[in-house]
Amino acid sequence: MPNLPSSKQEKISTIQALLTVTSTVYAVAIVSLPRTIAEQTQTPDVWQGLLLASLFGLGAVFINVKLCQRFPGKTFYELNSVIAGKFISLLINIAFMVYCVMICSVVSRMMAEFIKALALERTPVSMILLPFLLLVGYLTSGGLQAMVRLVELFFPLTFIVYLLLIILNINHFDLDNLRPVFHQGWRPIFKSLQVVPFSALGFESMLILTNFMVNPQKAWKAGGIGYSIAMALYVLMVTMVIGCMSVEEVSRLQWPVVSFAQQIEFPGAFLERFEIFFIILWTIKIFMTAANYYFYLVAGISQLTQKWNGYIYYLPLIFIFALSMYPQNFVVMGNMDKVSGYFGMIICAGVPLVLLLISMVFRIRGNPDGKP
Amino acid sequence: MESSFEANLDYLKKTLGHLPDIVFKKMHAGQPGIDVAMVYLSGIADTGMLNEHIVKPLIATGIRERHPQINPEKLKEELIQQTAFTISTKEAKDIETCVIEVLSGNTCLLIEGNDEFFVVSTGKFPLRSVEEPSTETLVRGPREGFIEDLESNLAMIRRHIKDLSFKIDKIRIGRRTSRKLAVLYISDIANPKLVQEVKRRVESIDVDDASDTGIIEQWIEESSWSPFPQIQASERSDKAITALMSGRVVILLDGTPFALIAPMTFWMLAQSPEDYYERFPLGTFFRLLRLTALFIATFLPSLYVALISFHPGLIPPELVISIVSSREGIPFPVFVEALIMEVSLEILREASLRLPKGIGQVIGIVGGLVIGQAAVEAAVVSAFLIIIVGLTAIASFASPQYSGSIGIRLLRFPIMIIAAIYGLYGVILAFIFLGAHMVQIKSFGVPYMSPLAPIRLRDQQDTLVRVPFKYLKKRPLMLKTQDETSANRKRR
Repeated sequence: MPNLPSSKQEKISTIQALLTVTSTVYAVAIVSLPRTIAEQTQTPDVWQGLLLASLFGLGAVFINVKLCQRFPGKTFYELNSVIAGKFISLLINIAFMVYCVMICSVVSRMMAEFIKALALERTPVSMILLPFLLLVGYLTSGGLQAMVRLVELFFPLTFIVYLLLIILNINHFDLDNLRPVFHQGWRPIFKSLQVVPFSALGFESMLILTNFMVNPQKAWKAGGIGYSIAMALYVLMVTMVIGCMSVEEVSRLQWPVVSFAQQIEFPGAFLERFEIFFIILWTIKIFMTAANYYFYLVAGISQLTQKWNGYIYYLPLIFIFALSMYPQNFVVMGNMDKVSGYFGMIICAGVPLVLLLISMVFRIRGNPDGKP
Repeated sequence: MESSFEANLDYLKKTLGHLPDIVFKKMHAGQPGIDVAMVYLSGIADTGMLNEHIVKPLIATGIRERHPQINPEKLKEELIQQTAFTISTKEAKDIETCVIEVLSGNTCLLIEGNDEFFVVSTGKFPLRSVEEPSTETLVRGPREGFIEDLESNLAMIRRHIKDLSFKIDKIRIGRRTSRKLAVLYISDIANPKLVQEVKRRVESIDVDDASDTGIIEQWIEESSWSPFPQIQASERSDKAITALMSGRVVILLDGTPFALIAPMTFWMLAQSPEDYYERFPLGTFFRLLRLTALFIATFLPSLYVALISFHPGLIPPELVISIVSSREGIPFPVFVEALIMEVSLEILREASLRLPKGIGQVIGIVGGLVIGQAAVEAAVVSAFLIIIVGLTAIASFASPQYSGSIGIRLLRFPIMIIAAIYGLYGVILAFIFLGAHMVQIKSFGVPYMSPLAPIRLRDQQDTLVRVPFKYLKKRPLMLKTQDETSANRKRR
């Protein structure tokens, strides 16, 4: 492989791929998801929609893994030119990269708004974004290995905080808040599916990661388990938030999970305010998501330009910075969120499905040894 | 044949003749008289030893043998046989080596009609006695520390390792000083690629002098810009031996008591030999304690700055009240106040370090107690900040690795600055940055954060925790050792 010299040689283990998928998925929407779902359903039927979306996402993971396994040693960027031809593959690649830029920008902007509202009222959003994006660039300059190692390092930490958040709230949990189930039939659930896609995204990691793995045949295991863990954490969080605070209250709060963290009462001096830990957890989580998508983007650029150098690590940050500064208010941000969610559905689930079908019908395969 | 003897002698005279204490002695050995020339520096060579073990046997040769005819071959054999009992004699390859040997206090022997050179170890230098290492003291454990002499250090290690595969590779380092450097490893444990890489890097060093292994360390480490040490330095012989047993490579340099141990991981900053000498719950507890201390030493002042100046709402109201009341009348913002205290603490630490021990303590008392007390009473700094700074200072001493704790002392200041700009968010950014930095650096190919990132489940038994020896049977996986089992082998 002439491209990606710094990352191609270093393979990642199954557990690293698993945790990377988990960290890509489970992050962004966690603060606002209970509200966005509750707004749509207006009934306590919040978890079913999410569960449906996870099943759909698992299917997408399966498609992505199967597609990549047909072409050993190739990333999504490389394999689609074999199936779809040069011109169309260029379009697909650019679309995928635009999608990565969009997600990265939305995610970073949401982080900045969150930090601004909770911790830094007087700091401009751009100044909050700037060091964050530079840090993303710095991590990416270490290549894929640095990224997956950081995920491994921070995952236990964030997981512990997450569990504490759930466990310490258990005395607020009231099953009545989650009842009645299905009393308006399936309608609210399908309604909630309008907002869920953005949170269910992340399965596209397998498009890139599968063939970086030491054992690509275990990709389905890694992707499936990793994705399931993330979605399980999502469902648990949303259910707990609704269960502790009721649908009416949740749909009125901008970030219900923050209030969820604030209501923890912990006897003892420093732990009294649990939201401090939540802010740390969430920032780290978002950093990981942004860095993952940014790496997928950089991998694509180096694929198109056949280069891997210092400019690629930092130059695309300008686009991301510009795009993340574009929304003037939460409404525009919400729309951007929605657009990138639907766009992602097409690019990361629809297109791979079509490609997989084409390659199966026409029996297109890569060489088993990974040589082009 | 004769001409080469004379020519060599002439060469030595030409190259070394200008030294004031150089001695060229010629003597006849045997009956017809074969010329033997001795070259040494009288200032550093032990002439008594030379006399006793070289000159006397040589003179006796002819008399004892009663052979009128003695040929150079026989003399060589005689020389090696007779003198090798008492002091080490070896053959040198070329005349350049001879010059260096003479300059390091040894004696060079040239025999007429023989092309070889003989080097007799006669160097005698003042040596410090073996003492307890002053930087890494333990309550329980061997009290033996390395000294400045390479041979004594090697002796200390060799005394405890009686293994046939224990290898010592010596090279010389320093273009002008030509110091001895030894690379130590156990050839059937250590990964051969690691050994090869260490040797390759050490051999590639081209400097005039390396007066401490610290210089070697900076030449062979991977990331020079990192504040973290990537090779462990230690004066303890037991630490070096444990490292050898786990498949690491040890580098010793003549002239310094600090040995280098490679590869190193971040978690070794929190590990001490005592973790193994005490029972396992204690070892585990101390490791977690030291990691906590490292965290406190890095982040406590910046967390204080961030929470007090940006988010007093995030800490309990009672605490806020007591902090704010202690800050009453203080003319500086929190950041400046903390910076003043941290800088003065660093100055205090530096000052007391350079002074003789007795005065150093006085400085500590005057600086720490008197000035601290007066500063609080004069309302320059708040009493609460004194607690924070004191805690930070104590925590930074908890790491058994000095070079690691000074790296963290340095990091504290940029983190405080970013905390003053971005508050808690800045501290989180600094935390992520440190993580992103540490997952990128490597020590001889071993990722710095391993075995946690990349995760190696087997190595968890001896990283953050230390399991009982009953279960600690395997060497670290991350070192890719040849012989994996270290204890309790299954008998066949």
